[in-house]
Amino acid sequence: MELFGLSFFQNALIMSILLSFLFGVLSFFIVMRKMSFLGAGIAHTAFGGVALGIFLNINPFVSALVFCILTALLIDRLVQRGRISFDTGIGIFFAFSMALGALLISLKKDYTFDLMGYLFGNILGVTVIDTVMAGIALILFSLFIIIFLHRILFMSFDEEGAMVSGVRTEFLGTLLLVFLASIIVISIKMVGIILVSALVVLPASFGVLISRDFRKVIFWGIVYTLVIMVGGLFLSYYLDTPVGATSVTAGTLIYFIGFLISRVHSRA
Amino acid sequence: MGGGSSLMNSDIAVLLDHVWVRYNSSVILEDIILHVRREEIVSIVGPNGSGKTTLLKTIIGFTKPFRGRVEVLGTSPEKVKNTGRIGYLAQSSQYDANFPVSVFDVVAMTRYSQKGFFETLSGSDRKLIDAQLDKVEMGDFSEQHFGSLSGGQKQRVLIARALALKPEILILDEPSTGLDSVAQDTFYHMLVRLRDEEHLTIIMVSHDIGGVSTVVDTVACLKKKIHFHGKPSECIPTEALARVFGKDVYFLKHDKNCETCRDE
Repeated sequence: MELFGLSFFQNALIMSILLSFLFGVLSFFIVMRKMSFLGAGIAHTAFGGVALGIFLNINPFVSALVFCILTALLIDRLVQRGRISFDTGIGIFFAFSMALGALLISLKKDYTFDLMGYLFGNILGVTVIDTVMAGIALILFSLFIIIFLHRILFMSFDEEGAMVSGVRTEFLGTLLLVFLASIIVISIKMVGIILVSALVVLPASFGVLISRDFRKVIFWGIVYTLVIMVGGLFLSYYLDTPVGATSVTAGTLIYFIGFLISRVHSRA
Repeated sequence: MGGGSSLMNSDIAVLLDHVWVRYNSSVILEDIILHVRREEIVSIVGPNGSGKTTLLKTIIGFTKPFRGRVEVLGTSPEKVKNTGRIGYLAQSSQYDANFPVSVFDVVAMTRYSQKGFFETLSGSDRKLIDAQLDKVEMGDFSEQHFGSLSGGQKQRVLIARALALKPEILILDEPSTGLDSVAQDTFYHMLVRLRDEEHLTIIMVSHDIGGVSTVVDTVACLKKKIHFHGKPSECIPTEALARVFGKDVYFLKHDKNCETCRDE
């Protein structure tokens, strides 16, 4: 196929595969820890981070990464100390970052900003460097999961029980947040700010429809994400539609079909 | 076991000495004095919002008092917190019924928490896990989805999970919630058996005391302060009530007449 000869398409394809593994696994722990909304919040925070980078003339990727990690940790600390509730914290930073982003970009009058690209993703923007970043993230995240899988599983199931049993819940929780923020920022060019939250929620939600064994839930989460990301990429090429929007729309449809089948199945 | 031996320090599992705890600006626990002996079963009773869960969390070291001293197994709660010497069961409503783990997986969690980074479960770990499940009569449920169990079965599995670390103290928050009276009775008698076999000190919280009083060594009535701590029988106000209401007098007493539990 001539498609594969196009370098941007190759990059996008490699990116889709790497992101499928990242989100397939990440989704499980975020959904089980009931932190999906934090995923959405961090994604929107990235907009402020990107705008900050443009405004200050530094690399928007770096500024978004730092901004998102710091915001995630700040929300986490405030919630842990009992200062504010989880959804209040996210709600405030979510809106603030979007507002800050819009403000900074409007101040930078000479700058042409691909807003749609940041919101909904743009595969033309995916470079080799982005795929290398995703590759590094995948290696680090895989190591993290292989080493701590059972401890994170324990604290996702029962945080206090895990703490009493000697699991360093605060340390692992913080690392998981850093990974969440980093993976979201890395994926934004490809899928966009608005749609990345779907990748945080859908894979595990689909996996749970298929199995009640966490190993299989994670496995099916990866398979599902591969199908919607890679399938969505080809579909968007032929339909000439934005790739993130295509993947997420298809993914949600697949989820609901799976949901209906599992309902019928459990009744039978 | 609650006998007449003198109050030697080594005999004390948990000691709270004039402990005050606040959350934000309001005082939740006021001047708490509590001694729990080793291998004693204590039930902390009191109405909702009386500070029962906070008291448990203070013993475990999740909550720090702003005044007073807490001693657990001869040292501070912070030093005991991450060792597995205390087994803790939160209220059962805190466990997500859809969480995709089997009964075996749940008990395995505490074994894994003691493992090195790349270690997997050994044959002896698996045997140990099966043995804990047998202790709580859940050996036949090993492969079942945890979320599909009844409330009482879940409690048993969580106790097996705690037992896998060979704890010295078991702390249970409202273990009887959602159990019918027969299941409660069986559950409490299992606790007594485990106390004897595993040499456990058991501290539990409940908002009623119906079945508890027949098995526990002492009852502590809590409403911000400890209003009473002693043998359950001492808590009975009049023998007449007992004659009229039989066993249920304990429930009545704590619900209506006990100074601690009475609504203001």
